Order: sequence, then structure tokens, then C-alpha cells
Amino acid sequence: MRYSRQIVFEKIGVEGQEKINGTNVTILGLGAIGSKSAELLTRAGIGSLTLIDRDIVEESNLQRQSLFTEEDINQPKALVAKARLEKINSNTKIRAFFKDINNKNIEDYVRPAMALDCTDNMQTRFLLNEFCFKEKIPWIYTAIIESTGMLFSIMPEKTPCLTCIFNEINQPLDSCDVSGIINTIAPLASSIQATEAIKYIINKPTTKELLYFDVWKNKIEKIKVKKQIGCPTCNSRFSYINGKKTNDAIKLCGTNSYQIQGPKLKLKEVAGKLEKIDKVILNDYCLIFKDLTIFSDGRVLIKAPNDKQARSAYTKYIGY
Amino acid sequence: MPAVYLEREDKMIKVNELNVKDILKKLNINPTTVIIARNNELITEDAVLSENDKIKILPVISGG
Repeated sequence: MRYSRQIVFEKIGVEGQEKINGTNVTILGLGAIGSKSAELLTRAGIGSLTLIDRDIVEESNLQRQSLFTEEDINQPKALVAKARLEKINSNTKIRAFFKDINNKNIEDYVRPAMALDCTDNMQTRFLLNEFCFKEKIPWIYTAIIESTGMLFSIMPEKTPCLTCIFNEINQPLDSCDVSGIINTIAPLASSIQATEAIKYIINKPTTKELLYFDVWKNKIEKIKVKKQIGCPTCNSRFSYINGKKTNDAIKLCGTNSYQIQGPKLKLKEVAGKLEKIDKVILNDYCLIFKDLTIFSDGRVLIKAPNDKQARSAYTKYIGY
Repeated sequence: MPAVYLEREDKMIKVNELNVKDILKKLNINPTTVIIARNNELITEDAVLSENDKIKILPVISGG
């Protein structure tokens, strides 16, 4: 029997397995953490997964993003992941969206029963934090860099939320491309994240502490956190889901890239203009030109040393 | 003198300051990029330390 080892594990049992088989989990981001967590939950027999990712597979992803192979380069991560996961477990229903999540569309994609944060930037996390608080969707913050990771299971109204723990970030945080990352930290973070998800699904208590772990130092720290009386999110003073603060232009982890969100684009028309300047690669999903990767939904990923130069390149080649 | 452990640098230092805010300023650390723990409990930059306190400064992690 497919899940016999998990059912024999006394903390899960038959009842727990039935709950796992009947639950939907949304995975936001399919990088190093998201691809491994998606695989673990699929193998565990999760009922359905909603996968969301805005990126295509790049060669530098292959070092740590376990669902992807060389033949997937330049393909959307969400669609590649769906195809691979369906081969692992055909019983898991998978919906995959090659989308960027923002305040205008988050309610269309992030659904109950819970969400796993596998994103690569704090602005999207603050958006997710507000949305999940408002909709009472439990979610698990998880992040990694170098040999370290951080995780906290957030149960809206019951536990502290992300803005109880972190201040509004007012300078770019180190990214994987600057600080680097060892690939062994990702499976550790995903293992804890997927275990926390299973614990929630089968009605067992999740961690009440912020976890900090370092695979190089063989260290796991537990830090007690508490609700902040003045926390804007816990007091329903939102600024991300209503668009007061946007995640339109953000630095992406691991790629030395910036994303600028503009109006929708007709890629063939854009290609026609740009190929007069330099070589253009156009496929069904994106247009690649110099340091720009352009998507029809208006997103442009720009490799640049700073946001100003990214905006300059955007204006120069896209024109808005 | 409070002791400050810098997690990322794996380094322990002694400081004269008792206000966490002052310590961060002295160490040239942007308070929005770190979290601070005393006895494995999160404290804010407004906390005031005792002479024998030990705190840890950990970086906020955002990669994925």
C-alpha cells in the first residue's frame, strides 16, 4: 500500500493520512524550497497542490532546485514542476500558474487550506502575511541563504504574524547571488516546512517558536516570539493588499535581477522592434533580449547592479 | 558590560551601551535587517539591557 509507512508512523495513522489525502496546499514560489516541499507533500499523498511561480528555469537553478533538469532550461518552473510531480504521484491534483502574485490577483491563486511561503523576497511575504491574516489562512514563512534558514508557522489570530517579528525592511537584504547558498540547506528547510504543514493538516500543534538553523554549524535555534500590540497587520491596518505599498519593482534573490511590472505586452510586436537592435530569443513563454526577460503579462526581469539601472534599461527597451 | 553574539560573523563582543538601538548604531547595523534575541526570546530595538545580559543578533533571511 502506497502510504503504509506513513500510516504505521503512529503520529499520522489512518486518520491522519486521510486528512493529508483530502487537503489542498498552495505553494508560492518553486525555487529551492518550493520544489522540494512540493515533492515531499506529493509523495506524502497530499490531495491537491496549487503551484505558483513567475520564473523560468535557469542553468544556475539546477544546483539546488530539485525538480528541474537541464532540458527544462527556459521553461516556466510552475509548468515543469506540475509535469514532474504528476509523474511522482498521479493521485495528487495539481494546478500550476506561471504568474507573479500581487495585490490585484493574490485572492485568485492563494487558497485554503494553507499556504507555504517559498518566495524569494520580503515584499511578497508581507503581501501574503496580510492576505492570509484577512482570509484566516495558515501559512509557513520559510527562507534560506548561505548555509542558514529561518521558519515560522503563522496561524492567523492565534500566533504572532510576520510583522510581529520583522520590521518593515528599508534596505535590500542579501540575496543568494551575492552571498551564495549551499544546496544542502534547501532540503533541510523544506523538510521542516513540509513537516509543519503535515502537522497542521492532521490537527497536531505546529511550532510556536521562530526557528533559525544553520546546516554548516549543525545548529537549530528556537526563538520565542510574541504578538506585538501595535502590529499593523494584527490590527487590520493593511498596506500591501490594498496597494498602498506595491511589489511592482523588486530585487529578486539568486539572479542579481530586478522585476518591473508594467502594462501587458504583445511579445511578437516587442520582438519585432528589439531585433533591429540585437539578437532576440522568443518562445511561447517569454522574450529574451540582452539582460531582459520579458513576459506578456507585462513583467520584465532585468539583470542589473541596482534598481536605477534596471529602470533605465526598462525605459530604454520597453518604452514605458 | 552586555555581550553581543553576532550570528553571521560567529563572533562575541562586549559593548558598553545598554540600549539595543545604540548597540546597533555602534555596530553600523540597520535595525530592519536583523532580529535580536535575549535568552532565546525576541526583543525589539527599544529594549534596554542589564550589565550581564547576552544578546544574539541574527540576520533577517529572505532567499528562497
